[in-house]
Amino acid sequence: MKTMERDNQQKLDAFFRVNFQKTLKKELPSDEFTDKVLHKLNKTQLSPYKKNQVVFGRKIKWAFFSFIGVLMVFSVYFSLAVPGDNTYQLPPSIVNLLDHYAGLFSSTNNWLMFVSAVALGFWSLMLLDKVLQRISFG
Amino acid sequence: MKDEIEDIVIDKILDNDQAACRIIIDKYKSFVFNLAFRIVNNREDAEEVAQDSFIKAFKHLESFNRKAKFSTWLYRITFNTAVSKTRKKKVVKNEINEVPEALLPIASFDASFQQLKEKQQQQVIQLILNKLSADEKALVTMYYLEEMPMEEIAEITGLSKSNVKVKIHRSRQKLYKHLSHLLKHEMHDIL
Repeated sequence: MKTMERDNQQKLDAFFRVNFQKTLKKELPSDEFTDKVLHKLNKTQLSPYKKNQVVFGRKIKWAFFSFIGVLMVFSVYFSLAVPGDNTYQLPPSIVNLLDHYAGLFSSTNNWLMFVSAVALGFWSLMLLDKVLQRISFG
Repeated sequence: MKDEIEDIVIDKILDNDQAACRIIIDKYKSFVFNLAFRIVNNREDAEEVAQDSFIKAFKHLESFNRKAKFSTWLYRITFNTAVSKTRKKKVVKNEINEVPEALLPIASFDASFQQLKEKQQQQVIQLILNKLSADEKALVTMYYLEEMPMEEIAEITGLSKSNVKVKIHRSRQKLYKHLSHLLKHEMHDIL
């Protein structure tokens, strides 16, 4: 019984293989197909050329993230510390240095805050772009 | 076997070489388009699916695992894109009545089929193919028309090899049933 079934399967396979190849002609895409794909690639953000362009070098990225990290540490420190107070037991030279930089965060000197806000905004956009790229992959 | 020239072309695409993109598109467009066409069943949609598949492939080329064949990876993208395209459209079920009937012996329908003219044979094959679902159509096309091994079909579709076997078996039975039915009852409509 099994042999008969297998035999039938083989016959069907042979029939479909031969007749599919005989009757189903190969469909060809339009003549402009390649140009259309390349045009779409160039037009959209999906272009590999755009994707592979190095927007920021690795060193710049590290410097950028370190900068944000330092800013965050400074912000936390100055939100807690009182200038001149030695509660945190830091060496006087470092306390003096931090006091000096504390001036950058004063209301008249808020350019550093502005730069970090712009940098963080830009970084969020890059992250969003990465997430969207992953989602759009079929 | 690993295609070293293809590897070089892929590296060039990653280095922003447009001519390399053209080489890959020209090499695979025919198969990609055919696979898409068999699943979506019309030229316009097939062309769109094929274009989108190439764009997705280029966009995610960095994630391509060089251990696998590039063609298999590209066909998998095409398969997924085409199947999701058909899911967006309303599926029209075209089942024949599930009344049990005696199937024609294979030798008998083979003889009847060979008596038909070439154009009619094309119509019959197209009719029975259209009775299958989109992914079944893709499976039988890869298996019968492109003569791909089960392993490669499994890689492209993301199914296990045994699952591919089962699905092809079911599709084969469906094709047999529809062809038998067609040759028995509906030939006068075709002729």
